[in-house]
Amino acid sequence: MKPAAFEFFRPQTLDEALRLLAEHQDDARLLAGGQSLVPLMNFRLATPGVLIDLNRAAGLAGIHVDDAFLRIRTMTRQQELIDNPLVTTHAPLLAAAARFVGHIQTRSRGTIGGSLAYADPSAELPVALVALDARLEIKSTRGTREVAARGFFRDALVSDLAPDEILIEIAIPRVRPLARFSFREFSRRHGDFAIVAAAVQYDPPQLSIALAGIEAVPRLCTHLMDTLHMNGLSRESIELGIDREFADVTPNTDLQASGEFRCQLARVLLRDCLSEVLPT
Amino acid sequence: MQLRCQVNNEEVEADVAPRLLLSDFIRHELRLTGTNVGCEMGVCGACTVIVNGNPVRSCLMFAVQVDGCEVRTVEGLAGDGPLNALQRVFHEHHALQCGYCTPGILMTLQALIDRGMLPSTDTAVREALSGNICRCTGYQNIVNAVLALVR
Repeated sequence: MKPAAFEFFRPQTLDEALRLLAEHQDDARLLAGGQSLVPLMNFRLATPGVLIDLNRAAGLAGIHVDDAFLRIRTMTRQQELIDNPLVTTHAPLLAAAARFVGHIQTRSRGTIGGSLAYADPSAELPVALVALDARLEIKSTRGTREVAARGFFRDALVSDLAPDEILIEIAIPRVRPLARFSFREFSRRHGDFAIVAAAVQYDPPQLSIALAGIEAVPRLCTHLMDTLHMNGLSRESIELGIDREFADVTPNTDLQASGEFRCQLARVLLRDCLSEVLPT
Repeated sequence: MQLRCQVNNEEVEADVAPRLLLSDFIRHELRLTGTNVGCEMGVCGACTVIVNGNPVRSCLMFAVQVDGCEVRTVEGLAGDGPLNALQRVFHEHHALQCGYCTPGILMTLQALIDRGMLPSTDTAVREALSGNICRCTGYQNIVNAVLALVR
């Protein structure tokens, strides 16, 4: 099928994009990489009256580091997360996660900001950024605000963004060179969204663990993290922590996988990630 | 909406509706029907073309988005001349059955060749081509062809 007609804007600056979005609000959709939005439009599951293409807006793509953070502008392509040495050095977990995102053709267009704003419960980049405790900079004509990635996801496909807001930058605390990380997922085919994905980073003494595909939003595994923090990093403590973690989970169930299967996958992936990352 | 771009090194100018997909622009307006359209949802990879050096799904871009860009389609690989090296190994290794997916596969590989990133192991070739589906399941000869080119 073909997309329904829409009015097309190609702002050259962020301010122009913000003004357009403020004017059209809910009638407008932002076009970033288009790898999720355009299929929806082709099937007319999305029929925005106005499309605001961010691809020509200056200054919205790029990666740099400062003292504390790796800063990624949101129109940065997913493939860049794999290819750019700044990412592999300062946030290697994110680069590892990006390898599981789609294929080279979709990663060449798809953006990190688009992945976040789309907020798919099984997506790889959101769960990695939750594990990494990233901070997100959000702008509108009303001003600028910052929100933690850990508070950004509200429900499946629902983020904290208001209709007039644009996600601008993702700031990730830089890890030390000796930090260890592991990203694993189970999916039916390479490049598909995960059924379950696990992201773990150990930058001693800080241990971060998050899961995708279990609930409507990425789950930061605080019970497991607390247990390992209090009881040490032994095998027994991992098992205890995993049991505690899943005690209050109500897992997603759909045609792809039952909730029970998802939980089982998550347990296996967590064990594998932790044994890869923790000192034995 | 006015659109100016380069397609296979030729200047192209057109007036198109914003909703026109790049794949349809290439096939219906430019009559370059080598680019095939499979799923129109970004899954099959048949419509892969190269835009500014990157392999992309032409069914997931609007034609107006390539304004000012350089586009390469499968017709640009050999032009009217002999097959290029990539096409030749596909021919020699019978790396196609029905041929529907072939243009997309060639363009994905050509983008990797242009970057000097052509994979050289069986696993890496399969990963590089994971975004191109061959419904005849003729993958083995495709992989053989790529590996022959690397050697």
